[in-house]
Amino acid sequence: MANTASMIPMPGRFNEPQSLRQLTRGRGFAAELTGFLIPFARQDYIYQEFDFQETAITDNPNAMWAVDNSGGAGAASFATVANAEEGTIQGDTGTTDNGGVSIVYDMISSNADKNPGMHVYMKIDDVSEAGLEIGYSDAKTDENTLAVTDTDTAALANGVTDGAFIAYDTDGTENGMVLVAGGATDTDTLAAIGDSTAASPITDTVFFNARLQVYANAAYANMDAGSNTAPDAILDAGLSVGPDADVLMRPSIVCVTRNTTAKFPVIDLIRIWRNRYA
Amino acid sequence: MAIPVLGRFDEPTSIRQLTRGRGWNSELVGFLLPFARQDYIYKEYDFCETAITDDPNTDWSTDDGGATSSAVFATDANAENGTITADTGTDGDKGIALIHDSINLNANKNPGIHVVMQLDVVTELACEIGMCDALTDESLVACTDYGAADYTIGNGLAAGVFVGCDTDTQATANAQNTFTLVTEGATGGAEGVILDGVTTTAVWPALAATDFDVVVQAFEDGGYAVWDHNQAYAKGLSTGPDADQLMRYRIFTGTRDGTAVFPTIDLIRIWQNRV
Repeated sequence: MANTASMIPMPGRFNEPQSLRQLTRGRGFAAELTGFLIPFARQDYIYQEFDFQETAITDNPNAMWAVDNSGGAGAASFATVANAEEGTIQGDTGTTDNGGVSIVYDMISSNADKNPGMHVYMKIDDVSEAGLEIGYSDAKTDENTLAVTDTDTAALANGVTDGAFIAYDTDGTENGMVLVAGGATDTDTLAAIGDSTAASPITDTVFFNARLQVYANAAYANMDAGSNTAPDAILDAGLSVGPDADVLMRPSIVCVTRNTTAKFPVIDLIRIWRNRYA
Repeated sequence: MAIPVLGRFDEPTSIRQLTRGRGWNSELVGFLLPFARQDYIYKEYDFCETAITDDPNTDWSTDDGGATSSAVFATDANAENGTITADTGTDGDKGIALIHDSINLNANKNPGIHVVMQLDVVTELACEIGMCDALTDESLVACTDYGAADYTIGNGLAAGVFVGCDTDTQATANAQNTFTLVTEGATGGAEGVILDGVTTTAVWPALAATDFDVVVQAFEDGGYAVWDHNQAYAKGLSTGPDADQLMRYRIFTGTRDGTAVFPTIDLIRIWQNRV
């Protein structure tokens, strides 16, 4: 038998390696370091990220997503932007009013009782006359159309029974982003992310962060501009209503134009996560 | 009490979260930087896949100078750790390269690369490891003369930071018998510095058929490299690529005497700031 006394550490000799229990041992649940390293507690969390560094959107790991468009004039589904700094994908809503593009996770496998969440870093070339939603739901009737059909009075439609979204729609009167959530048990409900009367927190061609955390019958969202110079400009909202447990959902991002000018959403990063156990 | 939920932390997996209450100047912060996903792009290629054509390796292209019996990088079947190997072929001055497909590295976002690789022989060869813009011929050297005082850059290179060697030009000029950090940019022009700082009596750091580590870190108008994580073989330059001169990663090996050289790569890690 090899002498292992002086060998470098090996995961299998630790008790429950890469588990939440190992991570929090002597540190506790509330530590920032625990939060930072949660994605790597593989025994307890499922975590995937899509940074779009690949040559084509069809390369793995991106094959886990389906891209589509509504087929309007000039519309084009999300595709890798060749030689883009940081690696990005871009879609084109086309010039048909209300036309849209979508990127939808293939598997409808996220249960709200396992706390699924997502983080998206993206931008839109023109945020006037546009709609956007980022969130989790069961399958939509038309994946290229918004499920949040009204950002003034909460309404989930388009075939969605359970979901939680960060939504933006210039057809409504809300200036900025809203969190909308509902399900079979809970009535669809809305909350402004930040100040609903302030100027829109997203601007043309500027990247922003949007983060959504879903629970059984609850949801939370926050967002901020992606700049390191404004780390404190975080807007957030929470709701004590949301999707029911055991109604499986998937993450999706949909962008639509609200006039006949094409909109070009650009996504730099998508991160998704959920607990492995309820 | 419910277990922690990632989305309830403030800016989860960001540099701000990582450094909260800890500061920036910490080994743990450095260790965990690749996992601050909100602020850093980080990807690794460990070549444990069945074939080099499997993802994630499709991010890379192989380039072959077309020398006699040359072969592009391919997965070594059942190799310990997972490796890829290429063959420069037997025509002198020709080579092979592994190049990243996307030319998307901006020096102002501090791209870097770490490579673990080996060469079956360390005489009569040229090697370049780092990043640069697209070359006229990816299967030829970019630094055409290490012996000249200002280093001579060619092959269409306009911006780059790489560690290189060339037994043809080093031996005939200043006997720079080692690996050199070379930078090139629109503003700063070409510059180079030998990693151990010794020109005529340097010890060749690479051993035949033995793994070595190279880390190359680019900055706007600057570059840094270290060999085998040994600070005795580390140098920086305050000239380098300009911001917005986009580059891509490249690993090149060529033969200088018609004896085939077989570079084997075990690991490539790449990174850059997101913002």
